[in-house]
Amino acid sequence: MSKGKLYRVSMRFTNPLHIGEKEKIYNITQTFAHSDTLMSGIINAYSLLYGNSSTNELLDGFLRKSPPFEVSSTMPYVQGEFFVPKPVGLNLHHYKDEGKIEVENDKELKKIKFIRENDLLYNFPDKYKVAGSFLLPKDMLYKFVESKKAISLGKVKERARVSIDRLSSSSNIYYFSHFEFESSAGLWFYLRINDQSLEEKIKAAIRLLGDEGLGGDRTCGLGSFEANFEESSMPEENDNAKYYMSLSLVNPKSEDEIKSAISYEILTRSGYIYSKAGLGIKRKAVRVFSEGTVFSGKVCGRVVDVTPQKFSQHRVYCFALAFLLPLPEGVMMIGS
Amino acid sequence: MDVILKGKYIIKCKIKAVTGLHIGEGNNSIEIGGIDNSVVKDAEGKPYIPGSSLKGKMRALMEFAEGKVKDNLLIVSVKRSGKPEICIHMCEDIDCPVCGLFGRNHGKHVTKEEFIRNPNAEGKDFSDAVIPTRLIVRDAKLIESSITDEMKENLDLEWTEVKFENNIDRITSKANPRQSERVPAGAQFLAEFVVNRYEVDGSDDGQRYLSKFIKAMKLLEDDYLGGQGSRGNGKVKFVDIEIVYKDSSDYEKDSSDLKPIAKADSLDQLKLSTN
Ligand SMILES: [Zn+2]
Repeated sequence: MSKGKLYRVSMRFTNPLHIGEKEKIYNITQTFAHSDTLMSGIINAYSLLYGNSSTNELLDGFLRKSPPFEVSSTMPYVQGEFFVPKPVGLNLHHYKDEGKIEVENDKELKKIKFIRENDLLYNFPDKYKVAGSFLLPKDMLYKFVESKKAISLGKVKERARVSIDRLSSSSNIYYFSHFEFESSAGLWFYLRINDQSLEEKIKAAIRLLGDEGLGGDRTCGLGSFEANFEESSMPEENDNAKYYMSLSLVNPKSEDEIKSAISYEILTRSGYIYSKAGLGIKRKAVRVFSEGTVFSGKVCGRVVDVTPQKFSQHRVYCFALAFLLPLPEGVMMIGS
Repeated sequence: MDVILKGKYIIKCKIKAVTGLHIGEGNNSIEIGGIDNSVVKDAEGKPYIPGSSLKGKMRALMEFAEGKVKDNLLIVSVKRSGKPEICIHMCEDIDCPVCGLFGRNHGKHVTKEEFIRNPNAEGKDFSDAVIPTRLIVRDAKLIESSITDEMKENLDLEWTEVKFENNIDRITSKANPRQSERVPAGAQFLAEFVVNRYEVDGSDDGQRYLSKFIKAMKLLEDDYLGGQGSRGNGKVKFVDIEIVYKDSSDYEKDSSDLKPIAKADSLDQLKLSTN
């Protein structure tokens, strides 16, 4: 894997974010954009700025297996604290038995979905408590939750939309939900730029994506955000790590990569083509390892061609390259 | 097709409620002791104007003004019991100012004319004409200070007034009193619109769609926004207008200091410099 310049990109949402119509689950995780969605958003914005031929050159890099840049999926931040998904198969009971995590009952452990990146990278140096789906250092709880029950990123609201017949004025009303982030909360992702000559263009595409918006109903202003780029490094960039956790979706490129997945969840990615030429056409479905999947070694993942049979305008890709976080020595996994 | 973003015209202005404004939540459930017909509010309980309401109304007005409300130019968007219930304009004319500005939906569309001839018509895909929608309309947020202490004295709720309306049933002549919430006249909202300027296969939009959008703003001033417009509600005026141009190259800079290309107190004073 290449070692390019690493940025932590925070997205401060200036408008609510539309939750996918299909996934009408009142669950905040549904509002997160997976790495493949984020990547196609960036590439579409790139194409809008620099045109088809520059974009094809960019895509060539990905297909030649030397990606000009890499992204993770989006993850939540609150009050300046950056969260990552809980590794699948992390042995939380072990940490509880060690006295590091204090819970009233074991059910609380099951709810944990996010932990602070630094707590994971340093193998939980503090004492912790559970606040909803977040694991937090005990002495930090006051900063987030007054009720000491849950951490709030914002709320889901229902929006009504009306369409009106031009002649009879009869109306049709329909609803969809959207998510309003609190002012101190938003999403963030990692961006690694491998081809330095493209740095300003890639950042420009991300800034444009912010103005255009992420998710549904963008032309009504939803999903717009301000991007902030902060140079970053992985504190434990350790080639000998025993485990790596994925912060992105991963489609394994070989049998070996499949075998190296120790604890995993599998998602199916499907849906419609979103591009200038292909609106409303279904792309081929792909199975991928989800964020939080733990591998026993470094994996690359791959870009999958998901062009539907009858679609000829351009190729359609699902970006499922691995964005890995090395896990620290001594991290306790179930069964290890 | 190669579509390149040349830049964005960003129109910042205030929307002033000249008369009371009612943009409903569309919530038909009646809370006991609550208001039957409440207005949309944000997470902090302040009324706002949804981008979708502004966009929808402006589109409809443009369709009439551009001569697009004809059976062969309307598509059936909702059908109910075999009838074309909701029809709006949408077409595959790449130069159509309405579709170019407000967008086209993907999928197959049946025109009203076709539908009347054959309700099972398969319809046509406009995909060849689909390019990204040029217009983005953001939610307009209430300017709190526009609701003065003096106005507040006459309000029933923190930001709004509640009126009793008496609807008489045409058949039984029974009165049906109903409460309705309104944002008071004089309230102002902070609005932002974006018109993308594209180069489509080498041909530059220039200011064409910006001019069309300003026309749509004028059409809205002469119409109404929200509900009960025929009873005098919903007259709005755009004030303190400022238009800036953000060139696509500005995205390569960390932050850009954009100078307005036009500034005016009201639409009739607005002049675009040609460049
Ligand atoms: Zn049209």
